[in-house]
Amino acid sequence: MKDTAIEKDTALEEMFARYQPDLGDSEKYMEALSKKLEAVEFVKQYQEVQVRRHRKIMALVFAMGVLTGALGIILTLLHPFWTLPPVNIPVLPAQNYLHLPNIGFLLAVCLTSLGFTGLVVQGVALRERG
Amino acid sequence: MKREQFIAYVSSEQESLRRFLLALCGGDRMEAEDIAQEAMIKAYLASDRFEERHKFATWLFKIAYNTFLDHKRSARNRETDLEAAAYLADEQRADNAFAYQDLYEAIGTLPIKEKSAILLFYVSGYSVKEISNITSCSQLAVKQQLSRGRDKLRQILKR
Repeated sequence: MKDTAIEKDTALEEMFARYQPDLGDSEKYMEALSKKLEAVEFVKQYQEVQVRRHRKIMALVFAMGVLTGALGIILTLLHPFWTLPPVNIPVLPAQNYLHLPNIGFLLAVCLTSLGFTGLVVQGVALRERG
Repeated sequence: MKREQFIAYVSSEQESLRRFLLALCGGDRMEAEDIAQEAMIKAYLASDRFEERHKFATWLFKIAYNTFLDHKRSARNRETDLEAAAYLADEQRADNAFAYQDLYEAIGTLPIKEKSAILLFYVSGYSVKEISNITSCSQLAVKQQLSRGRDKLRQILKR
């Protein structure tokens, strides 16, 4: 609906009224468009599935991260139990924190947790892809 | 929105949209068709967010207009003399362009915003309010664009 406040110009209106370019067969055009939209729909659905998979994997990684972090915190709270030197080895108290076998043990626990997280995520990713 | 519903909506608007785009592209049928297809696919992908209270046609035209602007921006960067020569050498394209040569030439002299406002008003029959929605300009700006565009076209037609 045109605005009545707009000034009318018959010459221009006539010029544009004559403008009826041949756009071809509408039915064929819509048929081709419909096929294109079908292809677009297929790609769209595939992408949605991929996004869902990635979200699932991310949630799993997050959960494993929380578990690993919790394990780390628990081990830290058990201090000085884990950092104490093996029984009957006389050491100075200040050296407790630098006791290499115990630090190595903590490091091993962290790396094992990380590796385990990685393996679980990889397993899930491969299963999802398969 | 379901695909069937979208196709039904598009079916009633596609001719008007393609006619508008053809004039906007100065008779370059291939470019106009590319933009129309791209706009329709964009509209389809965004159709989930489409709110029924807005008019579908206005929404579709808005997407098409923005797609046209994007095309113009990217075409400015890639167009070469060779491409321009190839364009003119295309016999069919030349025929299409010459069919409404006067109109395309007259419209081609206008800046994009004036051209769009004039075409939406005269070719597609939209109101100032609808044009302002499609082009994201204020109603006052659209009225000014229409007025300036009309004056320029009048002068060209007098020649």
